[in-house]
Amino acid sequence: MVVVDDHRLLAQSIAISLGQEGVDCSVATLAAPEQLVAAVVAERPDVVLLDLDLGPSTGAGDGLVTPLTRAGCRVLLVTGCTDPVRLAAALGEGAVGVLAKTEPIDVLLAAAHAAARGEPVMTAEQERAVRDAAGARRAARAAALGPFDRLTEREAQVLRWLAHGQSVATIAARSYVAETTVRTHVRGVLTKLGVGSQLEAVALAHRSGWLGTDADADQG
Amino acid sequence: MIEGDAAAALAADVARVVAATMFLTAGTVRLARWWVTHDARSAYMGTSLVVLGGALLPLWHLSSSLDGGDPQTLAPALTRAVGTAVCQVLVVRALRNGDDDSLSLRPRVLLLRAAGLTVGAAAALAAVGLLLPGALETSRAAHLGLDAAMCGGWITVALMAAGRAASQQWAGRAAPLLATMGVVELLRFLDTAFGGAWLSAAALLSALLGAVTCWFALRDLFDATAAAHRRADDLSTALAHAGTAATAHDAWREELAHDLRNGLVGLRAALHTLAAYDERLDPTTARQLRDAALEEVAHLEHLVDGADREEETDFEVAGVVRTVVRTRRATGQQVRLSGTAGVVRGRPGDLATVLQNLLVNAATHAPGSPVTVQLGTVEGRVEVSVTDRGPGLTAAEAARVFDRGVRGAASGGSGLGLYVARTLMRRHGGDVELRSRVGGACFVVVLPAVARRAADGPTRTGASS
Repeated sequence: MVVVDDHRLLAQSIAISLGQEGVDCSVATLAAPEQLVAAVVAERPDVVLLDLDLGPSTGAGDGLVTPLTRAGCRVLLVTGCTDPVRLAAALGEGAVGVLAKTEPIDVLLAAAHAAARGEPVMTAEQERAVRDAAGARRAARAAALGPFDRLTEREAQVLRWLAHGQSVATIAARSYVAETTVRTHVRGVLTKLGVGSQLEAVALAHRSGWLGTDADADQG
Repeated sequence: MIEGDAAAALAADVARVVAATMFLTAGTVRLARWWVTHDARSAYMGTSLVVLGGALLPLWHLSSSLDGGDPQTLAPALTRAVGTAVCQVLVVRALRNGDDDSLSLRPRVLLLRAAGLTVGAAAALAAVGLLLPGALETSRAAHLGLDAAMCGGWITVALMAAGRAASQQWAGRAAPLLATMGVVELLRFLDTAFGGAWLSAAALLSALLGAVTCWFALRDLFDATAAAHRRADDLSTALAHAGTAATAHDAWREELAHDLRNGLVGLRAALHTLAAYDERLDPTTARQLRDAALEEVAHLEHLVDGADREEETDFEVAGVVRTVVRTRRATGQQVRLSGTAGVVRGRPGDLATVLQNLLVNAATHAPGSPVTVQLGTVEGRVEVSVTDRGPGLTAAEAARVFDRGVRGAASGGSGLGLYVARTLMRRHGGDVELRSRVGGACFVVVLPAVARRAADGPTRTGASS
C-alpha cells in the first residue's frame, strides 16, 4: 500500500498505523506527476491512498487516477477536496472509493483494508449520490456562466476592469478609446447579463465564479 | 387708435402669458432639482417661481374679455400683489435658509400652502367683488400704491440677495433678476401714472426675465443631475472595488480554513497513531511522529496568530528563522540554512510570517528546487536571503512583484503576497528586496540590527517561540 499525500503528518500517521496493523505501507515522495506514478507503480502496491490536492511539486492528483488504475493499483481517494465534480470524475476513471480526510482514522484504516481485500469501499447509493451531486453542480455552473459566454471579448475585458474597481473614464484612458465606446460596452454587458447596473454586473460576475475562472489570468 | 391700443394690449397679454409660463416652467424645473439634490433652496425657489408664474397669468383679464365687460375692479391687481408677496417671502426664506441642508422640507406641502394662500386670496377677492359690488372699485391711487409696494418689495429682496452674494454664490446671480422684477413693477407704475407704452415694455421685460430664469433653472438641474451621476459612478466603482476585495478576502479565508483543517486532520491522525500503537512503535518512529506533530502545531500557530496581538521585542533573528525552516521542512520542502545574524527589534511573528511566505513562494514558483536561507549582517543591518534555483523572474515580473494585489496564480496556502510582506517589514524599519541573480530568485529580508543587546532592562527574547 502507498500513501500519496502532500500532508506528511497525515501520510506518516496512516502509514505507521497501517504498518502496525500488519499492512506493508509506505509514503510516496512527491515529485512531478510522471515520476511520482513511476515511483508508486515500482512498489507494486495493491492499494494507493491518493489525495487530490498534492501541493506545489505535484499539483492536482486528478490526473494520477487513470495511470495508477491502468498499472493495476486500486486507487482509494482520501482527500480534503469536496468538489463532487472532481470526485465523480475520479470515480469514473476507476477509483474504488472516496473518503474525506476528516473521517476518523479508524474509518480510513477500515476502508484501506477493504480496498486491499478487493471489497467495495462505497455502496452503490453512495457512489450514485456523488455522481448526482456532480451533475447538479455542473448544471448550476453552466447555468450561472451561460450569460457570460455571450459577452464579446471587449465586453468581457471591460467587465473585468470594472470588477477591479476601474471607472469608465479610467478604462477609456487605458484602452485608448472614447468614454462613449466604453459606455456602449458596459450597456452590452448589462443587457447580456440581464442586470440593471455596473454594480450588479460585477456582483454577478463574482457570485457566478466567472471572475475566478479567468479574470485573474491577467493579474500575473 | 383704438385698434392700435387693442393690438398693443393683445401683445402685452401674449407677453404676460409667455412670462407666466416661463416662470411656471422654471419653478417646476427647480422643484425637479430638489428631487435630485434635496436642498432647501431649490424647494423655496421652485415654489416661489410657481406661485409667481400663477399670479402673473392674466386670468382676470381673460375672463373679463370673454364677458365683454371692462374690469373695473381692483381684484386682479390685488391677487397679483398677494402672489408677488408670497413669492418674495419665499425668496427671503431661501436666502436665509438656502444653505441649511439639515432643514427637512417637503416641497409638496410648501407648494400647496403657498399656492393655497394665493388662490384663497384671489377667491376671497372674487367673492368680495361679487357680494359687494363697488367695494373693490378700481382707483388710480390704489393701483399706484400696489405697484409701488410690489416694486419696493422686489428691490428690497434684491438688495438682500446682493448683501448675501459673498456667502451664497447663487444670491449674487439672483440679485439682478430680482432687481429687474422691481423694474417691471416700476414700468407698471409708470403706466398707471402716465399711460403710454410702459405696460407693453413691462410685459416684454418680464417675459425676457422669465426666459432667463428658466435657462438658469435648467442649467442648475443639468449640473445637479451630472453631479449625481458622477457620485453614483464613483460609488459604484468604489463598491465594485470593495466587492473584489471582499471576494479575495473570502478566498484567502477559505484557504486558511482549508490549511487549518488539514493541519488538524494530520494532528488527529498522528495522536491516534501514537495512542493506539505507542508501546509497539520503535522509539525513532515515535519520536519522528511526535516531532512532526509539534511542527504541525507550530505551523498552525503561525496560521492562526495574527501578528497584531504580539508585542514588539528584541529578538534573535536566527531563532525565528530556524523555527520557520523546520516547519517548511516538515512539509517536504528542501531548505538549507546557513550563517548567523544578530538581534533586531520588532515582532518575531511578523518576520516568521514573511519568511514563511517567501519559502512558500519559492516552493510554488520553483517546485522541487532546494532553497537556501542565508543569514548575515551587513553594515548594521540583518539580512535574511531566500534563494531558489527555479526559473527566476522576468524583468516585467520583477518590476511588478511587490505591487499590491499581485499574487501568483498558484500561490499556496498561507501565502500573503509580497506586498504585505514588504509592508510588514517596512513597519519594522526594514524591507523586502528582490536581488537579481542568474538562475533562480533571491528575496532578501532586511532589518535594522539592534546595536547591542539591551542589557539594561528586562527584555523578552522571542527567539524561543
